[in-house]
Amino acid sequence: MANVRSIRTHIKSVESTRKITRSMKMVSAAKLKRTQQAMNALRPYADAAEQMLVRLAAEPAAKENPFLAPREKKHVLYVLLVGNRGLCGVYNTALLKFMEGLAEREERDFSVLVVGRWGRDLIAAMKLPLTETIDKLSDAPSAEESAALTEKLKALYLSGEADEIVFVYERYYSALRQEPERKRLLPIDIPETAEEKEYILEPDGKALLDKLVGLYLDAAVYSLLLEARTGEHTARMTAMTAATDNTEQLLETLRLELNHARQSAITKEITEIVGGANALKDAKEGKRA
Amino acid sequence: MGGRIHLKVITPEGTALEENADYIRIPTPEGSVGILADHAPMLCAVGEGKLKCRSEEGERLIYVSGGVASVENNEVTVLTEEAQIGE
Repeated sequence: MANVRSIRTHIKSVESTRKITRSMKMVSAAKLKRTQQAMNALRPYADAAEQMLVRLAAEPAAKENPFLAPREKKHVLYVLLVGNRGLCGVYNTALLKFMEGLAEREERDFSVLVVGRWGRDLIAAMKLPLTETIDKLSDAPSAEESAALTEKLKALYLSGEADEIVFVYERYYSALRQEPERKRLLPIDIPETAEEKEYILEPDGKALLDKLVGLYLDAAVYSLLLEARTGEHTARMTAMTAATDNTEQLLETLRLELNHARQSAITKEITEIVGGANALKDAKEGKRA
Repeated sequence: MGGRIHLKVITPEGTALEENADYIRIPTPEGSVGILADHAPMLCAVGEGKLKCRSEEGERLIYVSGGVASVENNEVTVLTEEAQIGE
C-alpha cells in the first residue's frame, strides 16, 4: 500500500486539477452565453435577408451579380473553422478527420484557409494546401471581426483565386450534439421558389441585389462563426464538467486510501510497541527464571 | 401604436423595433418613399437617414444606417446594420 505522504501529494495535485477544470468550465459557460445570445439575435436578420434574396433570385439582374451567377468551379477554397483551444472533447479532432476525408475525395484544385488557433502543428502535419491561418478571431467574435473575414473571402472570390468557397465547421444541433459539416458560401445557393410575384424594385434590381447580397453574406458568415464558437464552448463545458466529476471520484478513492494507509500505519506502530514491550517483558522474565 | 401596417426593423443585434403604423416613410438613396396600407409588393434599398412611422397615437423617428426593405401584405421589414430609436 502506498505510503501516507505520497497519497497526500496525489490528493493535492488532483485538487488543483479540479480547481482548473472547474474554472475552465465557468469561463466556457460565460462565453457560451455571449455567443448563443448573439446567435439568437442574428437569426431573424439572416432569415429575412435570405427570404428577400429568394424573391429577387428570379430577376434578370441576378445572373449578372458576381456572387450569384454560376461559374466554372476550378479552384475550391475550404474555410476550416477550428476552435481556439483544445480540451473540448472530440470537437476539433472530429473536424480535422472530416476535413481529411474531404481533402482525399476532392478531385479539383483546392486550398484551405484555417480560422482558429488550435492544432497548428497537427494541421501542418496533415500536409493540406494551406493558404493562410487566421488566428486572431476571438472566442466571442464581434460583427466587425466577422465582416473583415467576409470582405477577405469576397475579394478572393472576385479576383478569381477561388471559384467556390466552402465552410467546414462543427454544426450545432444541440448542447449534446455537434457534428462536422460543409456548407457552401459562394456562389450563393438560392432555394427555388414556385411563387412568381411582381415586385416594385427601388431603385433597380442590380443596385438592390448588390446591397442585399452584401447583407446576406455578412449575416451568413457571422452566423457560421457564432455557431462554430457556440459549439466549441458547449463542448468544452461538457468536457470540463466530466473532468471535474472525475476528479471528485478520484479524490474520494484517494481519501479512502489515505485513511486505510494511515490506519494501517497506526496499527503497525501499535503492534510494534506492544511487540517491543512484550519482548522486554519476556527478556526480564527469562533473566529471572 | 395601432395601425394596419406591421413594421419590423431588424439589425444583426436583434429586432430593434416592431410596431403597427398607418404610414411609414423610408429613406432611400434617391429620396424618401412613403408607404400606406395595401401598398403593392416592393423591395427597396434603404439609405442612411431617418425612418418615420406614424399612427393615430403619434409619430416615431428611427435612425437607420442603410440596408434593404421589403413591403408585402402590409408587412414592412427593414433590414439595417444599425438602428437607433429616437423620441
